[in-house]
Amino acid sequence: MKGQTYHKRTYGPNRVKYPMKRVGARGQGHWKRISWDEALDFVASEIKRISAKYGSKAVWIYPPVPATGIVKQGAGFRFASVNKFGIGTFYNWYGDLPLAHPITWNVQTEEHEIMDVQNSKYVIMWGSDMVQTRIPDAHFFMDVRAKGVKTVYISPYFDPTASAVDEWVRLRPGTDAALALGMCHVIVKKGMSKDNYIKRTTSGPLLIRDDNGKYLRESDLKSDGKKKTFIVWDPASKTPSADKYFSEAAALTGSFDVTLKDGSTISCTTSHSLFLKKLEEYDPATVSQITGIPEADIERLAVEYASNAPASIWSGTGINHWYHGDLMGRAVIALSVLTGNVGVNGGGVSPWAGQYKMRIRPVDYFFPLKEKGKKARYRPVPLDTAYVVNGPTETMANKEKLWRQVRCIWAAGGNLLGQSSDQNTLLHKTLPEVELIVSPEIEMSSNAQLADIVLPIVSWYELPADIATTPAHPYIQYVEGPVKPLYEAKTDLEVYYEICKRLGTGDIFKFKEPEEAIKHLLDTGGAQVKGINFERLKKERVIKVNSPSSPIAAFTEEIKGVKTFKTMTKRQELYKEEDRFIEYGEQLPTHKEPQTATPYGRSMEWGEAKKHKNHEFEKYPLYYLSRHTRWSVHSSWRTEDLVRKLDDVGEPLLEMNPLDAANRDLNAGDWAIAYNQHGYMKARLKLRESVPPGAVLIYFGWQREQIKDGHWNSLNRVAINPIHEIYFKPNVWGPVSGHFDELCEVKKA
Amino acid sequence: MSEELWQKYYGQPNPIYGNKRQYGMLLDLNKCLGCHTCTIACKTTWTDGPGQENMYWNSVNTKPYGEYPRQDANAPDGLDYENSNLYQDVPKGVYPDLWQFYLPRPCNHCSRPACLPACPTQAIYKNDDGIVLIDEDLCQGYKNCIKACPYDKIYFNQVTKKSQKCIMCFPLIEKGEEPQCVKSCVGKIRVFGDLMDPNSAISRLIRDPSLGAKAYDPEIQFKAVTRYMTDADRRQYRADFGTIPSLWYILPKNVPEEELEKYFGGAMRGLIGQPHTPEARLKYKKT
Ligand code: SF4
Ligand code: SF4
Ligand code: SF4
Repeated sequence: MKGQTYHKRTYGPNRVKYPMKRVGARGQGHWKRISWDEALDFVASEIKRISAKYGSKAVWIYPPVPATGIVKQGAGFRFASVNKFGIGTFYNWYGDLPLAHPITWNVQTEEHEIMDVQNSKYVIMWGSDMVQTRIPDAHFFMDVRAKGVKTVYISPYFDPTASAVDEWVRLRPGTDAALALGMCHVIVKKGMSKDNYIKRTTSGPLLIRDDNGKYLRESDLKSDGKKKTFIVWDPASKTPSADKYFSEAAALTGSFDVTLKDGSTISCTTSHSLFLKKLEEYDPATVSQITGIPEADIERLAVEYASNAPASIWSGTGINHWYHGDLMGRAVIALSVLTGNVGVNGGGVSPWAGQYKMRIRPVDYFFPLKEKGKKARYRPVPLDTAYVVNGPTETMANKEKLWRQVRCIWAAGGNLLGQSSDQNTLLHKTLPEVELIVSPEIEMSSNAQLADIVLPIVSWYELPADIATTPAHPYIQYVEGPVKPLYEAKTDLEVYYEICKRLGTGDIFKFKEPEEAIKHLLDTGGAQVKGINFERLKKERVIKVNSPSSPIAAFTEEIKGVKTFKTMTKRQELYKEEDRFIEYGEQLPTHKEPQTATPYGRSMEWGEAKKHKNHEFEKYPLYYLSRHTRWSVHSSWRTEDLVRKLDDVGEPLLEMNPLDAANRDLNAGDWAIAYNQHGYMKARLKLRESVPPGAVLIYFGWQREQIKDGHWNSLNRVAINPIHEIYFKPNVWGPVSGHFDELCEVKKA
Repeated sequence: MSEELWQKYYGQPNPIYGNKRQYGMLLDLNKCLGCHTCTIACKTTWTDGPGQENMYWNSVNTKPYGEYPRQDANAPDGLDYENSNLYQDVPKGVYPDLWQFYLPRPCNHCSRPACLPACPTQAIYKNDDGIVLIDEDLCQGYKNCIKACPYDKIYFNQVTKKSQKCIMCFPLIEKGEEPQCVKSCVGKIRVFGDLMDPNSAISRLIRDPSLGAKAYDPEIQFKAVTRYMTDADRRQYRADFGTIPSLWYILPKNVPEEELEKYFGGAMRGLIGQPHTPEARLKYKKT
């Protein structure tokens, strides 16, 4: 629907047509048209000045989601690499990275292509509003339902998806982990767990030391033992023995006395036994108390899920955009693991959010080799976007090396300044420290409005050539715009090249024309694109990449024993031993109350939490949810009238339940303010029963000038969970935005 | 629809207009995403010109409250065409007992159109394919058709002063293609074809609901590898108007039966309820 109006945007009044330099204060909207040469010279000289004064890593590139156009978007990484600039993150910063995936499997994200739902016998959409937020793929879910497969939607909100499934399950926001663990509890009690699968492929049989909570290692037992060899209990010989992946010989449960190399004896327990013990806390009665779902429904859902194999879970960002989203993700994964659904077509846990998945190896394009044949590469200096906006935390990983105040922001990755969480900190604390904001843009976004220099970039219709992939399907696509660049627009690639030339790195950056970059990408693209060259791709346009399963499913080889998992233990790690997991009591999946949005004890497990009150909740008793709409891709399309006119009254709306409105003496159509201690947003009220009592929702993406006052993201903070800081691997392990974990109050404006 | 009924409606040429083909559509409302891709596909193809700003030949509304056009005393002729998707995703009921469904509506290309005989200049005709068209050279803007169509599916162009309506994309059909709103339907909910052809996919799917619930079957000519239609009743929207619409719908399973009767029943049973705060409706005027 949105794509069909793209010509309107391409030729629309909002286009950036020529390079512009700010005159007057930032954000005032006064611009001077300048030539490309002036613009490039100015930016290059400013970058030189800033680099000389603060170091090149104070120049910071906000990177785009690469898979949408690997040449165009990936060029941002290359640009940062060859100049040793700083680079930010996107996937975790947006809150799209399901941290449970790297935690459990040590992968960025592995998931099933969406067509694989056709192989499912039971389908749970867990907080993922397919109908509204995955429009092109939603029909697979509707089709499978029409075929007679039961589909379930779990969400507190009566979203469009809720009316398109067989069962809508409602729970208190932020309690999804409790539901998943409650289902695990029922499955275990009814003897429906797949114990052999657990034994073969998960951390279940590995022994955990009762004294320190760490995995028992061979090096604990013998002086010449290996640190990377983990230990199971062999029931035949009644001795600890080295773990063999996929073996069924080990004991899955039990506690055993083990003699260490110093002769002392300690008790160890299998991690599965520890998990079963944990699950004792999640009996249906307790889970019903936590979630508000009737006990009988919890039992029935568990039995249905466990007895219809393969059963798939599509989990999306609904459960990920929470401070404890990693725990929710781990609990849901545990459910899938217990029932042997991970690794089979029609099963799995697939959280697709964002076009992060490049079905090609991009390393040589992003981080070029310094010399052919040698290993050294040009690399940027990463700094997570969360710290750029928020400043560093006490618990930040590698802080001494990585933290620095950013002085130049090159917003290559979209509308950072318009869409970022915590608008107040960003605008009033962070930006004043930034001496240069460069906004290469197609249209005059909120980001461009706040920039110092705006550069006109070709629209997707003018893009000469690019390649695109997605987690949603297994194809690599050739992208070629039908029209020549309009106005004075240039490609991102050319702009980077021109700046590099002025900085003396043009030869290293090398690419000015996208075709050359595509050839390079395909030539160095690895196994997935083996056999796909430029000529073939240009001719055929869409080619399926090489993959071990079709439709693509995650971990099919691992669960057949052909391969091991990429984790330290080579197994699916439901149990984690890092100090910080132990410190926070999160070795195993568990439910913690939301960090903010709860009436009970914040971030506490239920036993404790229920004895506490969250005092913030008394002041701000409404859950605050700002989320995706069908009418925009983030902020794109919000300014396209044809689309905007179809979105109800075509302006930002605060939506709430009529009951809450009546309690506050508010009527539909009234101007109202949603606020909390961080900020506020003013908009008109829409009342509908789809929003549960006790919540406020706003569909986001509006340009600053479309909002009457405030900003939907000024009510959010960048709250960083220390678990997310155990490691820092850009876009793989880092702070995941938890912006659904927020409260507010609403009053008449 | 029973075989008997099919014989009655479509078993012989149209008794009044003589057309031997009757193009129509079958839409599975269980699968509609409310995405409006159909609306925009139609709009950017046919109604992107002057005077057509508020014309949506294909409209999609959230039922029960969404309506297009909407009665509004302040609007010209008492009908608001501009805000075509008010009450989007406003369900009926009290949380959590709720229901809603999306209702996509092109012109029905009725077998007995109400618009056609209402035109004093005989500008409206039914062609050989059963498509109801307005000859703009003959139309003199009397607007009688607009008042006559019980589905509000004719629109007045204030610039050209002519009435305009869905043309079932006949130029595409002549080229052997399907209409824009069918081709572009992202939910793949629409089947297009000749209702009078006993062997067409659409007429078979209407007569035998179980057909659509089977996997890809070359015999029913689905143009997709995986595509299923829900095994539920096929009905026309507001058949009680008596115009014999050529748009057929597969009824949504999640809507209470007595409510469905109001839309797809043989006759109206009482008025459809109004939303909880009708008097406090959103004002559309910019302040
Ligand atoms: S729906 Fe209205 S405009 Fe269309 S043919 Fe029937 S009566 Fe005429
Ligand atoms: S059939 Fe063609 S003209 Fe009619 S609503 Fe569909 S797209 Fe528009
Ligand atoms: S395009 Fe199809 S799925 Fe989308 S609103 Fe129209 S009829 Fe429904």
